[in-house]
Amino acid sequence: MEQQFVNALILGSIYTLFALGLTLSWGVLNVLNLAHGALFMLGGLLAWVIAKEHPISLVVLLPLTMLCCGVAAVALDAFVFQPIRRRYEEHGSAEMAMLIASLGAAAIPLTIAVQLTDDQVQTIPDAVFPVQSWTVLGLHITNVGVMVIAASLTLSLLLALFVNRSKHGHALRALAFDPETCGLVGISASRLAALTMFVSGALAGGAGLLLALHLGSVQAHMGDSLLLKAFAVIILGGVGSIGGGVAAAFLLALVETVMVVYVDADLKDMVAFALIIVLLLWRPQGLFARAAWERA
Amino acid sequence: MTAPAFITWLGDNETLIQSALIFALLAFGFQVALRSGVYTFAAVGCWAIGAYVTGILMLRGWATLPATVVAIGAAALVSLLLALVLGRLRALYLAMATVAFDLLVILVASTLEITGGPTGLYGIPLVTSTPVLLAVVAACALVLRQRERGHTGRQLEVMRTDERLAPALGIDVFRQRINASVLSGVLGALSGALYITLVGAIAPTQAGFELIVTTLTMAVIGGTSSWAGPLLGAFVVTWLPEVLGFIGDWWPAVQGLILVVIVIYARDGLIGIVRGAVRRARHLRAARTPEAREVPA
Repeated sequence: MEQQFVNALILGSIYTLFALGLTLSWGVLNVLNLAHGALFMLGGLLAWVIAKEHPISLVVLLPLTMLCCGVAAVALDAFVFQPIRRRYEEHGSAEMAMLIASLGAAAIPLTIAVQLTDDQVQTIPDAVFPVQSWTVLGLHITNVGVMVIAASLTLSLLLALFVNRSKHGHALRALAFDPETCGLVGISASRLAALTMFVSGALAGGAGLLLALHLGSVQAHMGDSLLLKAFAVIILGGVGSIGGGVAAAFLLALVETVMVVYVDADLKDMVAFALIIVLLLWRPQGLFARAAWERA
Repeated sequence: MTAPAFITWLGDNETLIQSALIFALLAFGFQVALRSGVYTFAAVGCWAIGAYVTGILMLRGWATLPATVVAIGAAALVSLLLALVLGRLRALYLAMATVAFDLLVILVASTLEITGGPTGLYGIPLVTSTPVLLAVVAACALVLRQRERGHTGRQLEVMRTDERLAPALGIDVFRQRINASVLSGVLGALSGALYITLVGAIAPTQAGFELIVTTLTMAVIGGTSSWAGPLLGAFVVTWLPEVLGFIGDWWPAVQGLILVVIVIYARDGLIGIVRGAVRRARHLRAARTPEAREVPA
C-alpha cells in the first residue's frame, strides 16, 4: 500500500513538470496552449527516435530533447500565436482563436508520431538509461523514479527563481501585467513571448522524456490525458502560480492514488474532471493563493 | 451529370453523405452556441447522452420516436442544469469546463453496467435512413436560420460582439445564453440519437476528445457566423480525405493545418470566403452595366 504513495510522488512530479510549462504560457501570454500535450509527447518520441539508432547517454539526450521541444514551441508561437495576436484586436476572441488554433497545430506532431510509431506502444532501448531498482524500508523505487522526482523539484525551483529573481523574470511579470506599457519601457514583447514559449516547450519535452523513461515506452497519445489534468492542476494552484502549481500537482496525484487504493481504479480520472467543474464554480482564482502575477 | 448517373453517384457515396449529415447536426450544436458568444462544447456530451439513452430504451423494446424524444428531453434537462451551474463562466473557462463535462459523461458511460461498460451498446435496430436524416438536418437548418434573422438575430449578434453592451440594450443575456446552451445540447442529442439508429452501435471512446476536436474543426472551417458554415464544414471535412486520397494517413495533420490557416486568415470560415467572393462578383457586374458607366466618376 505504501508503495502506491511512492508512485503518487512520481506521478505528481510528472504532473508538475507538465503543468508548469502550461501555466507559464497561460500566465504570461494568455495562451491556453492545447498543443502542450503534443510537445510533451514530442519529447518522448524524440528520445525514442534518437535512442533507437544511436543509444546515447541521458546526459546528452535530455538537454537535446528539451532544446528541440523548446524550438518547436517557439515555432508554434511564431507561426500560429503571433499572427493571431496581430490580426485579432479583441482580447477575448484572440484567446479563443489561439485555443482553437493550438488544437489544429497539435494534430501535426501527433500525426507524425502515429506514422513513426505505427500507432503502437514502442519500447525505449535500455542502453539510454540502465534501470536499477532498490528497496528502501520495504519500498520499491527505481533510479528513474528518483530522477523524475529530483528533476521536477529542481526545475520548478529554477523556474521560480528565474521568474521571481532574474531580470528576464521581472520583464515576464511586467508583460503579464501590462503588455502595452512593456513596449513603452523598452521590453520587447515578441522576444519575451518567444523566450516564454521556449521555456514552456523545453519543460514539456523534458517531462515527456522522463515519463517515457519511467514507463520504458512511448506512444503517440501519451500526452492527451495529461492536458485536462494539467488544466485542473493550474486552476487549483492559480493561473501563473508556480508554488501553487507544484502543490496542486502533488495533491491531485495523491487524491488519484487514494481513489485507486480505497475506492475504484476506474474512477481515478474522474477526480480531475470533477475538480475542474467544482473549482471553476467555487474558486476560479485558485485554491492556494492569489496568482503570482496579476491577470487582467 | 445526367440524372441516372447522379443517382448512381448518390448510391456510391451514401455512407459519406450520412456521416456528413450526422456531423452537420452536431456541428450545428457548436455553431448555435458559438454564434451567441457562448463557448460551450457540451454538445458532444449530449451527443453521447442522446445515443446512449436512445440505444438503452430501444434495446428494451421501445419504439424509435418515443426513445428519441426521451433521449433529447434528458439531454435538454442536463444542458439546462449545466448551463445554470456554469452560468457565470466565460470564454475559455467555460470551454474547458464543458470539455471536462464531455469527458465525465463518457467516463460514467464506460463504468456503468447499463451502458455496456467499455464495450458500449450494440444491436440497436437500424431505422434511420438518408431521407430522414436530410429532413431533420433541413428542419434544424431552418430553426437556426430563423435565429440568425430579425430581432433575435441582431440581439445574439450584440451578445457575441459585446456582452457588456447587451444588457444596456434591454437584451436578457442570461436567458439568451441558457437558450443557446439548451439548443446546442438538443442538437447534439438529436445527432447522437440518429447516429445510433443509423449505425446500431456505440462505444464510449467514440465521444472522446477527438470528437470535440473534429466537430469544432467542422464548425470553424465552415464558419460560425451562419448555419451554412457547419453544414459546409461537415461535408468538407468528411469529403476531403476521400478526394485527396494520396494524403492517406496524413489527413489529420492536413486537417489541423487547414484549421490553423482558417483561424488566422479567414475567421468567418469558408462561408465568409464564399460571401466575400459573391459580394465582389456583384460589384464587378454592377460596374459593368451601362447605367453604372454613365455615372461620372
